[in-house]
Amino acid sequence: MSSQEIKARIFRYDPEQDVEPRFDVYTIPVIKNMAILDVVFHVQNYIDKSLAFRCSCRIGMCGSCAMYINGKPRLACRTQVSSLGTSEVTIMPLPNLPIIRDLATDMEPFFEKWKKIKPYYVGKPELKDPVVIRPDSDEREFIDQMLDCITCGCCYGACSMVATNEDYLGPAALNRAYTLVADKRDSIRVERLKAVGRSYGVWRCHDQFNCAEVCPKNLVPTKSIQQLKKRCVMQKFGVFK
Amino acid sequence: MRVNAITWLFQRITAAVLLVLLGVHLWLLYMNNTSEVISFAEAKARLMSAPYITLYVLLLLFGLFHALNGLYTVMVDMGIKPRKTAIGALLAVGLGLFGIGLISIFQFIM
Repeated sequence: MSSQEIKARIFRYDPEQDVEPRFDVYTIPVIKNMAILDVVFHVQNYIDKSLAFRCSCRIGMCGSCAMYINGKPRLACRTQVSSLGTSEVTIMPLPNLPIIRDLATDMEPFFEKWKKIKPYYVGKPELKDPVVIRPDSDEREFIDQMLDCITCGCCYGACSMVATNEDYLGPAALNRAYTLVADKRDSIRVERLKAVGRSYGVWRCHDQFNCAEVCPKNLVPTKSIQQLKKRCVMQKFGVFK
Repeated sequence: MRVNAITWLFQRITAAVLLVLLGVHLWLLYMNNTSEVISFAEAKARLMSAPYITLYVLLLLFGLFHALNGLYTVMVDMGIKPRKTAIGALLAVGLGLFGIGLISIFQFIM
């Protein structure tokens, strides 16, 4: 293997046909600015057409190409081979999700939990649009930081609490919940807070920051979860309405 | 949500209180002792004074709550079901240990 090549160990598994998963090893020629997505495309185009993976935008916006790359959930399109600093790369599907085939995971459990927190804005009926939160307000600044989630599932795959407790809502859903709970124009904030305040909600987070470490958008869902916990307690004492 | 929120808050409050109480406990035993070797009579005298008894009853109460609630949290994290059985068992253990602790603290008064 020359210095212009990398060895890619790729997870292969078809639940309908294979008894157990395996790793296939491919030698891939490296090109300038090559991303991991290019590696799997190379395998699919030139070596093994049966390799399954998911991708769409290729520019880190859609969040569909999240994979477990060298022991860490990352977006395949935004992970340059050179940034890994090794000539061997291991590519696996995102953890904590069922495998459809090879590197493609079933995102349904992730989005089922996403739905539980009612991830949409419901305006107060007495408010007449447009009602704005001033761009320079503290509230706006905090919400803005957390709005960039692309639902890639990297945080969900990295979260050790999701791995331990399958009912736990997970960092992405809770982060989304916080952006809405923090919005004073929202009319179902208390209802949303009750949904995240159940035992499978915010209380299962133990501030390990795994989610923040892998988020490709540099969000810190742990911070949002802490804010939600605080509001759950305030709501209990009638301070949050 | 109510129980979760309150136990979460109490877990933090007890942690903070325990830090203070354990500090006082260590200071009393290792810094404020009157002699090199603690005699039985001195230990007995301590456990007959109201401030010491108050300190150790509080330590027992807060320590037990913190430990058992922490254990329950780990059990829920691991997906234990049914939870009511776990809560019942932990309450029984807690009450039992609290009783034994009280007997130990009040043994020179009873």
